[in-house]
Amino acid sequence: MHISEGILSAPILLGGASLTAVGTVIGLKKLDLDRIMEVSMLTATFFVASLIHVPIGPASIHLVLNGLLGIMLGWACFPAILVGLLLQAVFFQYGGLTVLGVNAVNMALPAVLCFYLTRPLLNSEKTRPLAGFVAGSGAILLSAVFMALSLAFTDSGFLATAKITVLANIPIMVIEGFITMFIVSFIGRVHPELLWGGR
Amino acid sequence: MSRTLLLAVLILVWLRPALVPAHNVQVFAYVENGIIKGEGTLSGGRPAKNGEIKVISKVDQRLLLTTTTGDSGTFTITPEALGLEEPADLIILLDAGPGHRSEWQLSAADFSRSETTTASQSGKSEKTTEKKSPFPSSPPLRNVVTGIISIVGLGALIKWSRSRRRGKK
Repeated sequence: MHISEGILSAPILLGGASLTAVGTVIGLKKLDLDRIMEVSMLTATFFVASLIHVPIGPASIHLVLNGLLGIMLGWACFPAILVGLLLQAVFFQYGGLTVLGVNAVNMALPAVLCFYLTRPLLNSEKTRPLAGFVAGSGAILLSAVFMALSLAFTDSGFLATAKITVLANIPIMVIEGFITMFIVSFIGRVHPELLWGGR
Repeated sequence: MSRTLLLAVLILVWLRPALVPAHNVQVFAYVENGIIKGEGTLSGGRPAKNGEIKVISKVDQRLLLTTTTGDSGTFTITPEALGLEEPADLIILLDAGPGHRSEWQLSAADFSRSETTTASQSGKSEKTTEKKSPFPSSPPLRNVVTGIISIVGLGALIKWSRSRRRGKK
């Protein structure tokens, strides 16, 4: 899911950085500082999730959990994902510093979209697992499409790239859908107020 | 706010030595007995299986050869396959899927060094030792722990700073 350095053109890099900056400012404004430890814990989870790999073909496929961050933090997932990606680039050499903006917007914007999409489903205990699954898998699907768009705007055809990235990420969509579903269902039972935090 | 900014600057200064060029995919190549040998790795040192390898002439950017890595992420290219009469500066490009690309450069001198080594070794019955990839096999535990401590520590500092400010009021 991380795009490496030296691949994207300068306009895409600048565009990604600008969108991430805007998203991060909105996220910081919406962030309730009393919930900062909750945000930290979810950021740490996002940071470590990338170490869980599923080997598929030549590509690197690993857990992302951006859907979980989106559903629980709303816009605050932008600064959380940005910090997580920065530390992944520094400590794991995933992605890179120049592509940080593009990678952050590719993962955080789908998370925010899934947050708005699944918000009505979180109210009922019956629809909560569905909300979790849709957020978990939908965020990966949208991230794959955004990643393909970033690559297509640089040099290759969008449809071909999108097909490859979406197909390569199908296993992770299913896995993350179930993981997010179980986590959201569990939190909804034991600490439902955590799910309203992003609102 | 200024305290948070100061904290961010301090963290960046602390991380500065670790800010190495970051690549998710890496390729490494060397010349042994005139043959190009190499290895492609993904994050964590896992082999880049069936990744596309392109050999490009550095001088005129001409594509000389396209091949793929094996199951162990390694590849071997003979000079005949490249169609070169003389050693040349080469770019080895590994494409392991969308957004996963890396390159390694070999100079013409690498070929001549290889020939010199072979000549000096002739007559001796010694084993050829394969060069090891310079990439680490997986992120060290120290980096994982440091990352987690950085994130949680940053949150705790903001929380502490906020509670202090509230206490003053």
